[in-house]
Amino acid sequence: MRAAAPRLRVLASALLAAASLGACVVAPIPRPRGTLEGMRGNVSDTMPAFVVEGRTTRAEVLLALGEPDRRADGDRWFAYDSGRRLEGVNWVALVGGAPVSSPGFVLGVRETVEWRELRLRFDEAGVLVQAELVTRRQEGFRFGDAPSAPEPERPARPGSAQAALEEARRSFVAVDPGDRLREAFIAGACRTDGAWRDAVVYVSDLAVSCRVPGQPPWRIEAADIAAVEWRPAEDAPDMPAVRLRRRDGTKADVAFRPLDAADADSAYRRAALFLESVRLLVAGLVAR
Amino acid sequence: MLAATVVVLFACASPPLGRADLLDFLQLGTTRRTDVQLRLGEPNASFEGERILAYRLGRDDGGYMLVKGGAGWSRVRFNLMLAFDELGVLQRYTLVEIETR
Repeated sequence: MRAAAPRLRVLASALLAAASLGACVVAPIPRPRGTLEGMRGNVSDTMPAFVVEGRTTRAEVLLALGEPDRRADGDRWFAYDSGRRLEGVNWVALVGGAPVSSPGFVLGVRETVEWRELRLRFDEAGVLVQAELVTRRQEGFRFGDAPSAPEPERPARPGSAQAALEEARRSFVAVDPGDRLREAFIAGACRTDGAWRDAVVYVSDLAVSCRVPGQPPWRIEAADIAAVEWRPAEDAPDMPAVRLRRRDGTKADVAFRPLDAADADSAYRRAALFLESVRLLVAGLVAR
Repeated sequence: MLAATVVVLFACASPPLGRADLLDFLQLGTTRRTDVQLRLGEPNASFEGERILAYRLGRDDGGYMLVKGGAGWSRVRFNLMLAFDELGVLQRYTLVEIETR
């Protein structure tokens, strides 16, 4: 340790000397924490107490939370979005010993951002029928300083894959009366009897279930899941897949395929989100 | 030299744009939607057949100021939400704090 200190001092001196001589040195500069620029900050990490399905009205929501970030379907659908930086570092170029302020000299950003999305659906009378708070944490490095936001969910156009997903959500029937839907994934393919079949995969706060049209659904309770992992499907190499290992040693695979030609990389995003959702479920982190 | 410095300092210090009395005219049961639109202009958004209007506000040392247009919530500190009855009379309003750093 004592031998390392002089070496660090020499390195620091060399970097400073290089910077002050006009050389370019790359250094980490902390990014401010808190609400991201241009985003609202009033979406909390828990469902607001006044939001009660079957009781709260659209007017009450508006007066309490303000105008939504997204609205659709004749105002029967609202979404409130928020993004908070939990931690972050800019890797910037230093020239002449001082940071270059031009954004072009932010070489890259490493940060952890928490995205919150409160989705509210109302009936024709303006009474809340479904409230969902989705929180995602995004960690990683990206080049440049361009903001990175998750693709927001938008209300679907009829006939689209998104419309199918929303219909799947609406048609979710809890097997257990206590089931509360957390996420639904369309065009997941579940391997049930050796063959891949198009399906809808649900993650509730109790279990993972897969519904294949014309087939009995399978369901795995959270307590029965021993592990969840990426599982490349040998017979479907273009489909990212996730394997659920049950405690009794049996397995269930869920694969994801692009929904259409313009959707090439979404299969990976959905698979990653599914994997993360199941991990949260197994870890007992899903709030009931 | 001193005078020049003072001039430069005053030039840099912009006066507050906000108005402390911007919202003083709002009276429940009295103020009409047309009064609001005459004073504050077109709302940023309206809901439920214009029974609910939304305005975006910033705030500085002088008070509140209207923030018009633009995407996102930059410079917006509050959402003024106004609810009117079927006759267009103000029944309720809230000042929702959008920015909670």
